[in-house]
Amino acid sequence: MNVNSDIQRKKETFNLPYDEDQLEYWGPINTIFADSFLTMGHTFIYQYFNTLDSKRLKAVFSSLVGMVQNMSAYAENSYEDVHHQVFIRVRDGGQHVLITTANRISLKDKLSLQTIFENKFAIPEAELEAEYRNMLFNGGGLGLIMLRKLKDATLEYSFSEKQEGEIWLGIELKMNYGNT
Amino acid sequence: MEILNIEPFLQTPEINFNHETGTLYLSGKCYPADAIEFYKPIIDWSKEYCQNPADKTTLICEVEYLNSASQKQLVELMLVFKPLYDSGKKFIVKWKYEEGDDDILSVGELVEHELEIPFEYQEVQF
Repeated sequence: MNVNSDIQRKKETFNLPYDEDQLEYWGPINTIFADSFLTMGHTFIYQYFNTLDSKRLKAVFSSLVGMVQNMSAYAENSYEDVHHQVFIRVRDGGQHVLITTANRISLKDKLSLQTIFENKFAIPEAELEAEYRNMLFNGGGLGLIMLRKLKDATLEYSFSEKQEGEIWLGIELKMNYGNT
Repeated sequence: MEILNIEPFLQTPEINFNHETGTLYLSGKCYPADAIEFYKPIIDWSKEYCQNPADKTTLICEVEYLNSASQKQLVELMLVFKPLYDSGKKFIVKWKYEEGDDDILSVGELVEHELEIPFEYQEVQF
């Protein structure tokens, strides 16, 4: 059976959308899987977006690394069983690369994560470099600041409750093609 | 003390730290999932090296990718060598980055500025 049609058939079983030309994963995550996925992601990004200049390709891939590793670290460090379900998608938006992730988080982590996101997103663009420097030399997570510092890119996040007690953190990064 | 040699892997760089020549070479992709675990033996080796260093120490960093956790660990590594430099020993970081990669270049410039240790920059092709 053709691989594409096999995947399509399986996705239809679960009423999931099917699109070609994108890298997509939906399932559990840990460090070992994240490493393998990123290796595959590197190949996909460098082959599929091969018209982008090397600097932009590197920014796209580095962003994917940060987003995927954050989710796998959360899954491995979370004491509460939240099944560690994640969604990852990299796709071509026409004039931009779109990286979307979502991961299930525990109810007890929601407030602290929400506070972190609100604080980081409240930092004015002009102060991001200073915040990055502060985090690099004085401690604190750099990942979110590095995503916010990206040029020609927009970053959005949302917390949503799909069912009672089932909370998802969604992040969407839109990176314009830039100079090619 | 023995030469520290770590083979490169998918997300980790090649490491060749030679205490006899003082040439400490780190090259490749740096985005391990657990950067603290990866850099621990390197930092431990460097601390021991600084007890009895070569006449001249050259830390060559040829970095293709650098995740956020590795940036922090590289700062930790450089901090190990700062007392060596401050005490008057010859020490330099050769920071090699991919042609046009301003992001990796700026990490080097920032560390040079904050830690006040000498850097030399070179564009390379990976």
